[in-house]
Amino acid sequence: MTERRSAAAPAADEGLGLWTYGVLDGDAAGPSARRGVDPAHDVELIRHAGLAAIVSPVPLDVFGELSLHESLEDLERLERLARVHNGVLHEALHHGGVVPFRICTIYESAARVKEMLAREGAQLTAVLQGLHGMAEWGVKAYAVGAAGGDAVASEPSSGTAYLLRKRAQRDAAVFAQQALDTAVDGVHVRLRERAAGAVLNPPRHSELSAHRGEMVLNAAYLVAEVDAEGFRALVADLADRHRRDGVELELSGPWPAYNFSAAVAR
Amino acid sequence: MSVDYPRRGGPLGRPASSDSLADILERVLDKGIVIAGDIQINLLDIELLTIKLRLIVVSIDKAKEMGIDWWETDPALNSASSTLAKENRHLRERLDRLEAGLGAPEHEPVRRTDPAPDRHDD
Repeated sequence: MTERRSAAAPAADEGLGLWTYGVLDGDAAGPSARRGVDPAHDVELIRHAGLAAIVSPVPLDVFGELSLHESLEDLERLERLARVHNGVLHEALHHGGVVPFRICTIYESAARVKEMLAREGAQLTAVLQGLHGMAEWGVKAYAVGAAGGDAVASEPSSGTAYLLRKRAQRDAAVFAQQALDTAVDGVHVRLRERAAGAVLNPPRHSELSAHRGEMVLNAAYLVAEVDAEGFRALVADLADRHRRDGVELELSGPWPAYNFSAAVAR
Repeated sequence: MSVDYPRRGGPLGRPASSDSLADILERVLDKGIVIAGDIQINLLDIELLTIKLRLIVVSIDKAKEMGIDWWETDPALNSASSTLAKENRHLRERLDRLEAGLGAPEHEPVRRTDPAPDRHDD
């Protein structure tokens, strides 16, 4: 444990790269001591051009392209990397805004990180201003089926009866689908009004979901910290109101603003 | 300055759990910014992985059991296959209609034509 090296060293050390988690304001407080994605190295800040990059050294024999690729195909290792990356960024939320970088962004030296900060500084600063005092909240909706199931009818007495029943079933399904869509749209509209930003992501496939029901909304909202409790209360209220429509809501957060930083990449 | 976010989350009215892996992966793999050209290790393949993960990943135990690439072979979870299934259903319905109108034709194999015009996937 005494062997931890600092971020200033890697330029001199051929074997180390710098995993970059995200970018903070230059005057943000440093992260509290915590281990990076490589447990032998702590997270540090590299300050430059009025910004601060959150980095931690990683040995390139483990984090080189090939071995990193292997790591990503191994769900257990991928999970560890993802959780540490997210954990570092989550802590950074407490120091004001943070622009999250995509996982596996590695620079070869502190000098290269500074170069990036200088080159992208204007855009990073603009995005950071928009994220100040903000966090992302995730809201997912699941269709879990409205109360009251289909009555099981007896065997149809004729072909016509069969067709009529088929049509009735189809109409009922269409009606239920419309009610569901309306409810989900309503939820999104209310939450969007309350938020500084909103992003709709494609619902995830239901097959493997730990949650029963099909995911029908997968949204992220950018919410001011001062309004976080109000937003939570609104989600809870909407959840109560739409339960009878067969919609269940799930809230997650606060998250670093992953869904609201993309402008920088343009 | 210090921001005091409540560290909670999870389903409403249920015990809060740590953030789900799917939620995290969706964000760290697919969101967050990419600054092109200055990334020493540029994992373009990650896009592919992301597409796979976007389909699912919630039950990590199940995914582990099956191996990371299981969804490529599981027709139920593969969007290309489900498109195919949809297309199949359409064709079967058309066939039914045709049969109803013309009397049952010879049993003909259903040929796959160009992608159906009404694909709603993705």
